[in-house]
Amino acid sequence: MPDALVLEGIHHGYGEAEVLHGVSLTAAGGAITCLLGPSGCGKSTLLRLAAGLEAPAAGTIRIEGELVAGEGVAVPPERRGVGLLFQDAALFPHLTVADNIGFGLRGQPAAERARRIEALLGLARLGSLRDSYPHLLSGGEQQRVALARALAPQPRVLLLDEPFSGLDTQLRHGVRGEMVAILRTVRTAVVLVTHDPEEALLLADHIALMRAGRIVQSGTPAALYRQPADPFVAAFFGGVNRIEARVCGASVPSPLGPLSAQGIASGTPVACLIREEAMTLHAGPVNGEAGPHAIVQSARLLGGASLVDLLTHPSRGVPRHLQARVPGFGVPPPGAEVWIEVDPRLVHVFPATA
Amino acid sequence: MSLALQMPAPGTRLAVLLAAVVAAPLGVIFVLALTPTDGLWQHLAATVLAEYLGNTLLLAAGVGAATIVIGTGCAWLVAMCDFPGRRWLDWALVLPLAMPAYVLAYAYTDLLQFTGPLQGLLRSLTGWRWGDYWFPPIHSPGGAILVLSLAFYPYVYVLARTAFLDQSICALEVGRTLGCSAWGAFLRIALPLARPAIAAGAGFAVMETLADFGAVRYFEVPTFTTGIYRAWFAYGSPAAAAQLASLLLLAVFAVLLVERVSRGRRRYAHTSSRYRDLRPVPLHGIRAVAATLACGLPPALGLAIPAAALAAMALRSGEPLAAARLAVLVSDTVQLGAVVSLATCGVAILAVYAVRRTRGGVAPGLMRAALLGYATPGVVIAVGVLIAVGMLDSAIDATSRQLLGISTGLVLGGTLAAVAYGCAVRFLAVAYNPLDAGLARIRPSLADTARTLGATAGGVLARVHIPLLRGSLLSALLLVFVEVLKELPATMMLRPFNFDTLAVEAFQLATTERLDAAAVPALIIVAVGLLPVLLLCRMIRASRPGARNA
Repeated sequence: MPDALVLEGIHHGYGEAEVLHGVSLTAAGGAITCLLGPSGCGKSTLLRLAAGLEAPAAGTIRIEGELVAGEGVAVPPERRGVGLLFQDAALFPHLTVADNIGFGLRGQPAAERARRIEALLGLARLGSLRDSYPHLLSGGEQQRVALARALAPQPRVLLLDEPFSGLDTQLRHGVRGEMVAILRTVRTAVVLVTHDPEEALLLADHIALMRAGRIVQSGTPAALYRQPADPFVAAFFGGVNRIEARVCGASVPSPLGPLSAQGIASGTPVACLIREEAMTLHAGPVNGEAGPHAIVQSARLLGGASLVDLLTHPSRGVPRHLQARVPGFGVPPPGAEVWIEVDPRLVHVFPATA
Repeated sequence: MSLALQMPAPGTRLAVLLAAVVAAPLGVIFVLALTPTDGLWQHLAATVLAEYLGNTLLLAAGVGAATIVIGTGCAWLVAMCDFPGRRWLDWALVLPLAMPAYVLAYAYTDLLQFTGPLQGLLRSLTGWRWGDYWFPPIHSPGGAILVLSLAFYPYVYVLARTAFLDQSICALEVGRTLGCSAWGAFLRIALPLARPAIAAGAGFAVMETLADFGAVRYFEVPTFTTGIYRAWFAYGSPAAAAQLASLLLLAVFAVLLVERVSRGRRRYAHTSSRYRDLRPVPLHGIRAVAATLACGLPPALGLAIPAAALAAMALRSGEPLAAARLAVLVSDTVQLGAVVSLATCGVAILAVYAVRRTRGGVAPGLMRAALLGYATPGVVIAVGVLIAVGMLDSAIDATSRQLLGISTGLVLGGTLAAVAYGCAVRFLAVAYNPLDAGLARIRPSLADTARTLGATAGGVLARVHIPLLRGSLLSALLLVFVEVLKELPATMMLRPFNFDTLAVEAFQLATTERLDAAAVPALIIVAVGLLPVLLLCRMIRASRPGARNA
């Protein structure tokens, strides 16, 4: 069976400015693919192209193997079999919940239609709101109706455009859980656009990270976190300490001691990105007296973890500011001297660019 | 390229076509005005131009000043103070919008003429007789300023009132805490903030003044509009009519420009999305009475008293309009109103869509040009349509004679189609603006979602947009209908032979010294005209910031 959605070599722009420069993306059936990236990188545009709301300037789009855009073909959105969910639920204000869900079921026998609406009302736990009008619903309920409405015609691909960013933090967590549970039961192919890396890590089977109209890296969440392709990817999934230096032999000298050059040739200027969570703090020396150590400047509790501001010890050269994210409460007080252990798996070294 | 930019043809072509059809009468006037005619300009300049210009400027200045004072003053009192009757007066102040200026002119002529009740009272009190005393003549530029100001001050009132209410929490309370007195806050904060709105309202009033035909013609104050009418009908000179019309149009566009610029700057009033009910300052004693009187006088003079005068005229009319004649008038008027409002709303919804589909490009600019019809005086549109339709008719005639050897004569001139065309050109904006605003309130994601759920472009219109636009569509139909009902010069000049609307009949009766008989059609116009005004009152109340529009 062909992949649910395949975009190849997509170029697109508004007027003179090109916003997508040759993007290729594949979304597999039954999986959640996340299009992740900062605002304005072109990810929502890509979604609109997939839905058929706009036509690409170049490139092809296939849905379950069928060519829907490019090579002279332009299948209109209503004949693509895609579902689309916006940040604002975009419910039709003049229709009840049930009629909203049934909007896409035109042309089916009434009994079949009613049965399908009932099934979706049940799936989205909306049975009691059947005859309500959208303005009476909470934000989470509106999103559930929008999801049920998008699923009703059994789309081949479901496209979600930042569906949770309109909700406040507390609500978002619950709605996200509910919606993912629904999506996992229907097992349709899902493409989710988001700018929130945490959300992508939480929901995605596959992430495509975009920047300025290009896909920078694409892979499983673990791959993007563990083997980032460049400093942008590394920094996108959380705070990093950036140290610039020059490779010396097989290692890079740093205030945290020598770091592995990860195969980069000696003499190359590099940027070392050390994740905040790569550092473990100890009250005493770990690797002998020469081990890196620092003085705690301040520490802030963030709930599950604490963020510690450190200044490297003057005995290690010019003091340097570092940030470490450590679990729990056992945080040393300001002024305390700590010894730092670095997890080499969470250090990423890249040749310095310009 | 977006889909819309890739296939701009249907939207742009349609928008260009609509704009061309609507702009044709104006274009014809400018072309004709620029065609050299030996000595006509000099002749006009030497004879009538100075008088037209002087009167028109006098009226514009007088009405502009009077509407600003009445409209702003009442808006401030109603928005910021509490006094007996405030709730009533709040919307009663809008009602004179239902009164066409020419109807006010008839009523005040009756009230203030020598045989009228006021002068009669004066004579019975003093014992004076004719020639013993001087009484201000209503048939004068001053009288015209009075009735036009009473008819048009609500434009300033409505916009100023909204401006005052909008700024309530943002600025005024802060101003008070910074040491302004209530009066100081008005002068230093509220008035400057509301100034763009007030200027826009006064701009409307002045544009309507420039466009007025009925009142000034009845009062025999020669202005550009009456001059154009006379040039066309009395002197039979299309060239002179076009010359005068183009001058008037330039003046109207200048005012329009001022209004647009003012409106563009109106944005700065909103800095906070929060809204709290304004606590009006309670007035007591003589000040409360003065406030009630000040706000009660404009609706009394603009609607209640003239309506009562018309009713009295209708009752005492020795020669009442025959019921059969009235039925014909109502039928003709309703027929015209229905045809024009349906056609105009149909064209408007097409135009709104055509412009939306094109997203940028030339179409929106063209459409804005086409919407200028509303700012164009009815007389000017009538002259433009007469010329354009005349040209079209002779072209059809010539073609037909060449091809078939048959002379078609006038196909369009003097038909209902010509009136409907003129009215549609004039009132396209009346239908376009509520529909455009209605569509703008519908989020684009609704249409996108509907498309992905299997609706075609037409299906989106039928299943999503039309149901959601129903309110806007109904009010657009009503607004156009009432405008057609009130319209005087365009219908009078374009109507087919023996086709009379209520407004035309009332005008003809009034100008042929049968003022009492004009009262019944005038009253019908006012009664129907109140409908959209009441609708406006409701919209104003619903549009309070923070109020929920369910």
